[in-house]
Amino acid sequence: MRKRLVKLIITVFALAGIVSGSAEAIDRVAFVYVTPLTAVGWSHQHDLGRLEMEKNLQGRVSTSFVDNVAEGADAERVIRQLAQAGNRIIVTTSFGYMNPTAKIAEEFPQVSFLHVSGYRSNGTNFANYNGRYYEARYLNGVIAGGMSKTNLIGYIAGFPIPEVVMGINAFMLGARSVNPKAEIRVVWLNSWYDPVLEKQAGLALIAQGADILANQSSSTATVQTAEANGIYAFSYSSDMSAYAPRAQLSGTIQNWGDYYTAAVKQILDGKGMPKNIWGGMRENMVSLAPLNPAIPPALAKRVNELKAGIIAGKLQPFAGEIRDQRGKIRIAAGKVASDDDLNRMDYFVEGVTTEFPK
Amino acid sequence: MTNESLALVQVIITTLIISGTPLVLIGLGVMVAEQSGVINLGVEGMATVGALVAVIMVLHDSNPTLALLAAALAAAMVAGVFALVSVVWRGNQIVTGLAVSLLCLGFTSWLGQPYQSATLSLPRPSEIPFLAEIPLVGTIIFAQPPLVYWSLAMALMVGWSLNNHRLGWLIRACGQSPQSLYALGHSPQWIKTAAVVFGGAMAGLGGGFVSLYSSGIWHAIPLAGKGWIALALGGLAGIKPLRLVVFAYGFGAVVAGQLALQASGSGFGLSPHLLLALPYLAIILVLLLWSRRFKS
Repeated sequence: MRKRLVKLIITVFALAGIVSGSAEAIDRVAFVYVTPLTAVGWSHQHDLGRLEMEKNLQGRVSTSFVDNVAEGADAERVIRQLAQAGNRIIVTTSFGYMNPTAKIAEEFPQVSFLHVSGYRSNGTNFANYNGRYYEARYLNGVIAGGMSKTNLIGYIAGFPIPEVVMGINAFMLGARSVNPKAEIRVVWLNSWYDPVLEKQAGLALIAQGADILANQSSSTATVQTAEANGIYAFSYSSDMSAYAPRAQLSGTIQNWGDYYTAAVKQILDGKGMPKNIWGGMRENMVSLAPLNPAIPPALAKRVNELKAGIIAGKLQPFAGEIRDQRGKIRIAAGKVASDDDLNRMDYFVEGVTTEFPK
Repeated sequence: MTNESLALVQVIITTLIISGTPLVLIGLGVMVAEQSGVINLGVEGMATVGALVAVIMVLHDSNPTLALLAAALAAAMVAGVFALVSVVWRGNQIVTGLAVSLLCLGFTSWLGQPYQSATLSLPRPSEIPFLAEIPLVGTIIFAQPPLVYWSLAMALMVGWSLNNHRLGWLIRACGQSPQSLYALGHSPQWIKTAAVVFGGAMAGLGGGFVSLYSSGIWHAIPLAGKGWIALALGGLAGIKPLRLVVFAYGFGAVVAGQLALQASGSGFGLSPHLLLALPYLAIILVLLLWSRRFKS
């Protein structure tokens, strides 16, 4: 009985594949999200990108998504099902999807795979992409340095991986560029998503005198805690001003619509796989959230000038001389950190008082 | 004491109360059910249902008390289903409990989507007269949500009942020797069901506390494993709820302490993985010491 049921299900799926295959002209693109789809945050930004791409390529593609897919065995099963179901392109949007995506890309050479934030690709049907979030973090830091009265910035983050460390360092460099007394303290949550702990961490930092909070932990709890306690904060991934209209000074926003449109179009036009890309503000993959009117005009003007500099490629946040928190020179004067340096970043810059975890 | 260290002490106390109270609430329910002979692995899910119901009620302008009662009722109903399957129909307790938890987590994530991250505006808890005027810590300890004090009163009640009252004895007899209950003309099934439903209501209150007071927002998977911790603590405390309170607040204190340590900039460069494992290490340590005491 059970065997028969399994056969039946497989047949139905196969038929669905054939039917949709024969009705072609419209290609299907599927997205896999790691969290439940929420009103803000990492997965939400990818979903906005999906919708934008679908709109831009109207008549050529139809899209779908599966959310709340745990990294690991679950991800492999879901991605394989999507490939079997006849999707032309599959976009997987979490670091931990990298290996399952690579594996299934080998099994399904006719399907193209795009994966965010990883480092693997195969040149034929599996490419990666990611954003230089640190560029906007630097600008957030400039605002924080200019706005802080206590000179103490509290930074709540998930895990000390290079992407997070890069963000903290860029924030610090930005803050120190306008305020040499600025200091960052980091509280690690050991979780990408724990709003209860995030709020408590925020309260502990506020008690220590922090008057600005930043975070990399996927929830709105940080900006909401700032709002409730009369201090300032920066949003991450999405604009969260709806949750903290007074507290949110600005933020670091991820935009994927342009990339998805270009990448999907390139694949469907038969022009091969998109190149691996690490895009920043210039590519509009990363942008600065709207500036809060509480920011004085002179500071806002300066931030906008710096932003133009980053977009034009004239300003590099990680340009030497940069010393780590022990005073050791990490990037020499006149040098700019290479992408490899950034992806291996295992130190905090001067001004971060939390010791780098061993 | 400088202003900053005073503020930090206040945050530590608040955090330990806010982290400990849901463990006390859920743990008391676990304790009663376990004494009646039911290990309720569904508490994590039941508490999550309570968390969502409380949020929905508050977002629809209910007062917190009514919201918490609704949370307790909803979770008690889930517990009723669990009791029906595991006690009345004699399904496997472990499997049924896990299934209830997983189902509840999935359903609440799905049903809760429209409320994701909505800010709850709750009235500030009123201060207890006189006590709140104690310098330094008075406004912190004696201006908490009423459920904090209620949970402690409940701990006393449950302790008294389990140790000194016929009802508590019946529950314990039910767990230890159901046959003797039959002999006395009682139905162990009814007592177990009642104990499980009570446990569900307490889990609902604990979940409601988490979403209303710990985070103040709705987000999927709000308990983040607190139900499982309460399950361990409630079982560990046996028939001594005050022991449960000590464990729960101790757990809260370690959470609060490690956050405060990090925020004060003196984390000594310890790995965050290690810092965040501290509360669990503390539990294991307590367990070790406890078992040694029993041996000697």
